[in-house]
Amino acid sequence: MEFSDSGRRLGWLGAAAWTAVSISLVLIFFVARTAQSAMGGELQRIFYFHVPAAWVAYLAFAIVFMSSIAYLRTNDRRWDILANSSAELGVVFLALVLITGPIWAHPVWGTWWQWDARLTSTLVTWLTYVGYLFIRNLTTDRRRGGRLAAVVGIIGLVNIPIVHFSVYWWRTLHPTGPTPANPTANSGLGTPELAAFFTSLAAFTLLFAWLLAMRARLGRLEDRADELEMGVVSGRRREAVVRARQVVTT
Amino acid sequence: MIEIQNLSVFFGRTIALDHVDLELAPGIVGLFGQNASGKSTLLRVLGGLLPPTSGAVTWEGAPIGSAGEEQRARIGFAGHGSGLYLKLAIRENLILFARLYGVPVTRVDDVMEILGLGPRSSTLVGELSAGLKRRAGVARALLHEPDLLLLDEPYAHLDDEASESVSLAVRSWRAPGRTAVIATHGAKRIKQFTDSRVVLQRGRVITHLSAEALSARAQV
Amino acid sequence: MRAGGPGFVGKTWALVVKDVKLELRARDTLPPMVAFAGAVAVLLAFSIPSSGNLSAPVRIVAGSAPLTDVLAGFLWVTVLFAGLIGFARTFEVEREEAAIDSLLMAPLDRSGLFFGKAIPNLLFIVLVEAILIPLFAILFGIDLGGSWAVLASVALLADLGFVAVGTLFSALAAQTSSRELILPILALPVLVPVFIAAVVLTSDLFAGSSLDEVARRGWFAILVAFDVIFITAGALLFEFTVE
Repeated sequence: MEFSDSGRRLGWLGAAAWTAVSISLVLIFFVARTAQSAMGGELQRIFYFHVPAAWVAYLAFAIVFMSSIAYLRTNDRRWDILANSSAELGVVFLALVLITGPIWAHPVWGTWWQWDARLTSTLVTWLTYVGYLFIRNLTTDRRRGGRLAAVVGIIGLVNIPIVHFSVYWWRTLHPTGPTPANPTANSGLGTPELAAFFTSLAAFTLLFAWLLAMRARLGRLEDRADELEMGVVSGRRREAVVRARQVVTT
Repeated sequence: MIEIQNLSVFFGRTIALDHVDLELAPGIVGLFGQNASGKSTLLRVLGGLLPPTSGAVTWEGAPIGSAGEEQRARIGFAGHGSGLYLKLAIRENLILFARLYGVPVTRVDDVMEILGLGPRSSTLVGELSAGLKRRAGVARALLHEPDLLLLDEPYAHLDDEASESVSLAVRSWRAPGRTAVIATHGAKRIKQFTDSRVVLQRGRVITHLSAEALSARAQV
Repeated sequence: MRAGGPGFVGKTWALVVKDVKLELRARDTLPPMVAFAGAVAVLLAFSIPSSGNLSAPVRIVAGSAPLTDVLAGFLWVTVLFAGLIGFARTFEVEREEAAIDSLLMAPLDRSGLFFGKAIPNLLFIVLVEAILIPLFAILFGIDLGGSWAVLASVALLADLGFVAVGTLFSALAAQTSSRELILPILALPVLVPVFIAAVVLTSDLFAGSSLDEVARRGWFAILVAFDVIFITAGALLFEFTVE
């Protein structure tokens, strides 16, 4: 019962996510106006993917941080599964950021990569969470792997602001974009563009939520499959032990 | 009283302990079983070194492993490794642990005396034979006179005389209310002074003879 | 608890003394660290076009950088790598005879185990620097003038954070199947702020600045913040990396 319920909720979430993605694609490509050539012209539309992906990645790492703390406190596997699922997605979305950035930057800045503050801190964050994913694969025991990864998940997030400050002082040239508090800051974006941007932001967030729920469910099913398998092995042994007991008592 | 309820320990896909239920009364418990029967795993769980995959273990009503420093101070554990440093002498090792447990240094010499380590006290642990290393590990476990003593194969690599010194040390440590769990694969060495016996096979308890059952058997 | 026994500090100190004594007898951590650092310093000398002229700019693809920046970067890369090589061995002595089990069972807070490992590591890295920095000065003709003490304090501040992260992650790496490999993968990204701050400050000192400008205080602040945060994090999280 519980199973089909959660499946149905997932279905609704998926439908909502893909609807939002479709709407945002229409807004991005047909409603938002082409930017000035100084901002990349048509290529500027990459911004509608780049920034939401970055937002989702950092949201994912915040979830990793909170579920890691919860896992260390409660020892409940579900938190660990959530942390791992979120970290995997965070790494994928941040990779998307690191790929879309240079595609835009090459014609606009004239270089694929700049050692700018945001680029650098994004790269450093990405490397940290790649390390997080490594840890699990290098341990045989799931619980131990989870505990070690949780430590990295906590350290990783705590370090983001320090990395950011240090590289910011070091150098910066990244354009600062609009925020909900100040939607038109430094951007030259009008209403259609802002509509496209915030729809895309919502679409990415929903898409992330759906993927996260799917991935976490997969993790729980893996655990369940292991439990069932161990139950079968344990049952076989029980029979062997019953026989052995008869030998001992006779 | 140690209460073990539905204890299971899995290492990946290997089952080390499989739904173990046990109640161990104070006294000396002999833990028997072949290699890989789960003896070492059970001792490590009792020592709080290994969190169970599922199930609960309590000692005197408090869960093992989460009851903190005060509980740890009352447990003594000697595993397969001696738990000592190879480049420190026996005495230096024991003095380090005496500091950690807040035990007077004179106690170090007493323990070494009981276990027949006195003459080798300034030998580096790395230069000891396997048997002497074992005894040094037992000395470390007994140093702070724990109320729960966990010994994993303390007689391995020991000749009769050395074994006798270990048995003597355990018997002189013994006191009302104290519990020892001693794992060996052969019952010979500790038969005379165990109060109860547990036999493990492939991670399960196949026999548990309590003190009453043992004395009833002796009368038959 | 027994009355009159040593407290947290006394027990932790006993662990520090133990590790130092073990290193004095085995000499298997510090000498390799120093040898590694020295070898790297000599190799780096071959990549510098003309040593002795610190104001000469070095041309690199993206433009040019003062030689002092390059040298400061070399110095700290060498320190980080030498440190990580040494820190990877932190838990070797605890594994040999399962001594870690004895420590975990002892009535001492886990943070005591952390400091008991971090303080010897700090000592090792300070000793490596005490040899490496003068070696750099000689090999590359750096005249620090009166700023030796300032450089030492920069190094010490950087070391505190470096050692906190290195010790925590070496405990973590010791639980995995590829200890030596995973430590730098985990530690280097986290150490970026320490590295940048140390390089910027060291470069200024190499260039003859006295670090009086207000702008430089920010870098000290970053080092101090990093130290405080990671010493705290290490002490709190250490227990989850040992078990």
